[in-house]
Amino acid sequence: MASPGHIHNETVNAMSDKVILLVEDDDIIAKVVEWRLKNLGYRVCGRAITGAEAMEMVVNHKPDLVLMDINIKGEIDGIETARMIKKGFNIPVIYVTSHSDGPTLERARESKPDGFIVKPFDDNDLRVAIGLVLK
Amino acid sequence: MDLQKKTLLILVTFLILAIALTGVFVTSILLSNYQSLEQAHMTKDLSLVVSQINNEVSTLSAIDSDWAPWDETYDFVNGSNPDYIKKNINAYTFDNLHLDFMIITNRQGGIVYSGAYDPANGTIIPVKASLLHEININSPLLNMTDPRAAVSGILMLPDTPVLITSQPIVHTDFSGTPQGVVIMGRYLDQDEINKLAGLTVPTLTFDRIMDPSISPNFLSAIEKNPANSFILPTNQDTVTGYTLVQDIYGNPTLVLEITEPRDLYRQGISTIFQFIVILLLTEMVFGVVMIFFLDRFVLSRIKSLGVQVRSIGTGSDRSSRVGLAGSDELSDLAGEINRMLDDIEKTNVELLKTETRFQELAENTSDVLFTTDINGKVLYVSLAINRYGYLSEDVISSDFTYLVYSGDRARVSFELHKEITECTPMVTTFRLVDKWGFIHWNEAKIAISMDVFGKPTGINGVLRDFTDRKHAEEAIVLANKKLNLLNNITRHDILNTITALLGCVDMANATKVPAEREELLNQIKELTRVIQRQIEFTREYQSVGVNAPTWQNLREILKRAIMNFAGSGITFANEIDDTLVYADPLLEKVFYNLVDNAVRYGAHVRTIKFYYLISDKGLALICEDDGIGIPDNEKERIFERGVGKNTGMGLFLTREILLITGIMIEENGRPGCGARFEMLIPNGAFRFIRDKKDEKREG
Repeated sequence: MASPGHIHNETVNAMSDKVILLVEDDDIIAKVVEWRLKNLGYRVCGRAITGAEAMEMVVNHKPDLVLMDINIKGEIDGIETARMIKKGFNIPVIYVTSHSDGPTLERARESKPDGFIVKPFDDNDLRVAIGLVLK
Repeated sequence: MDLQKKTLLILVTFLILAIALTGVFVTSILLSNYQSLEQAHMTKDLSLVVSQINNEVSTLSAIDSDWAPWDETYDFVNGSNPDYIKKNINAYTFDNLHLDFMIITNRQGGIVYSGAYDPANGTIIPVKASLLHEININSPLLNMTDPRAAVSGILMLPDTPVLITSQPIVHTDFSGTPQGVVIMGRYLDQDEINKLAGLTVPTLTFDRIMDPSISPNFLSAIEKNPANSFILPTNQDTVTGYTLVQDIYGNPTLVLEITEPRDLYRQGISTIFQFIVILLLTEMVFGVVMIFFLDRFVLSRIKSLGVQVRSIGTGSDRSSRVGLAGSDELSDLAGEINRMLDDIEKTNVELLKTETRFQELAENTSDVLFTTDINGKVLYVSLAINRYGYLSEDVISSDFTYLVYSGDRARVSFELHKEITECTPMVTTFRLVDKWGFIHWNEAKIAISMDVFGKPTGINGVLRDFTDRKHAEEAIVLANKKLNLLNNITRHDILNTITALLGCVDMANATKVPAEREELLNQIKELTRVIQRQIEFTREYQSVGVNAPTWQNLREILKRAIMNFAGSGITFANEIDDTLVYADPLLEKVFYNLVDNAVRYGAHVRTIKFYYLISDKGLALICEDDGIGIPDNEKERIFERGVGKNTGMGLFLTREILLITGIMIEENGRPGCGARFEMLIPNGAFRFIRDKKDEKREG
């Protein structure tokens, strides 16, 4: 299995110009994902913990991609936030979720996301999913 | 009216009618006969009187026949016997011959002698001029054509009728030419009439035809009668007979009238009366004898039979039998009745056994059996209804839907009506409200009862209480849902934590800084513990809903929960009575969590009080402490999973356990004054224990 450092070395040059917005309410997971994204050569323009924060940061930073946790704090969940981002800014959104139950996944599919990353994931899962969207 | 009275009435009526009819017929026939007899008798008497008159006239004529055909009379008329009068006619002659007058005429009708007798003085007096006036050439009295022929009869003088006779004067041997006539007579005066009456009937009168008091019609009626007579009852006591008497000219000249007492008629009346009396007495005796024997041999026995049968029917001793002496049809009937009573008794015994069997079956089953009439009015309900606090008497005669919860009543009524209309069996479920207002789920299986013509007469039904099953089913469904939800959430949480954990591992491997690596390792350790707690919570939570809810004694459960905090220094006030609550078996965990929360986070809690309030929504169970309370913005969130200072699962688990049986929990205390958890137990999910027996039964 490739180490995180190895992945970082392979992708850093190709992807360094891409900006990603992270929407995650869990501090530790946000820290881990941000670390992994940096290792993969992406620039994280910010981290939002609610849907409102996410919309604000999209407006301010115009990211190339949004990594969206479905269960986030606030009155609107990740699926609804993704729907607004795609509709308003046409920015690709990849869901990061541990949900495997039918209703939640069905709602997520209906929002026509650009990709799914199922928890738990490693650097390679992130690289493949993001690479497919940004290619 | 009983048979004896009816028979007596019929018999008496029959006898009265028979006597009346017989009396009428007999009276009319006998009276008619007696009247005929009376008429015949009167006719005979009239004939007798007429005959007597004729006898008088004949007697007078016989006397005249001694004087007229006599040579001396003959010579006297011819003038050759001048002493004739002197020798033969004097007052004694008149008196001896009972003559009132004597007239001798010559052949030319000249009167050669006339004389009349005065009986008062015994002397001869002159003949009345009116009588002499009647002796003329045209008078039949002077008829001398036949020497042997005499003319006799009644001659009506102006003042009085006379019996008169005339015979030609010839020789004694009837030879010679008649030289005149000898006329003799008697005045038909009252003396003569009395004499005639003495010979015939006492009341004899003569009336002139020319009498103005006699009407022509009356005379015509007499003449038209074949017997030339007329009988007329004067009154109840006398009867009068009339007949016409002709004079010597052959003309009716007198009305002979006789009046007699109505002896025959009265005899007839008396006879009829006696006959009727005898008939009445006879029929009375006959009737009494007949009634006596009819009563003795029939009526009283029938009555006795009826009394015995009625006594058996109304009395409690159904083994009694009827008894009737004799060997006739009635005693045979008594025997048949006894045989019938034997059969009925046998049938009743069998019926009683069957009824007892079915009644025991109905009363011992836990289901409620009932019947209603076609209008839904309850006619019978088994004792199992007592479990709902009702006596059979409370329910009988009321409408079946009286027991049905108001929310289900319209539907059940509609279904019942449809079932009766379509005559189809029905199975339905509804909620039943017991006498204390608690709801019980029941399944009703209902069938239509019909009469022999197939017409619906009511319904027969069975009510099966499935409240516990219903609650258990609902609880299981809810528990399954919660477990599924928990599985998803827990899986989500664990995967999230693992994601973080794996990330921390990668970061620890990647870092060259020892301090950072140590921090990451600590973080990994903490994340592992989080996973451990999440897994432990699943073990605890998976018990929720696994076991079916049960009725638990709230006071006892609370007591056990409080015992875990005996050393906490907190004072507990348990004001809960013995009350049964239908809840998940983890109910004790609920109270443990509430107390544990108060102990951990209430800061300065000294007292925790448990009590309840009753409202129309149900029983509100209150857990109240005197700690710092819950801020307003946290009152809802504290029941969410993961919210809290420890595991964040305690109150979440508490709410989930209670929701299994529909118990709602909320925190409504005043911040700063202590927490107040209110658990609302819905109606039907709690019961107050009436006594220990009830508690054991429910347990």
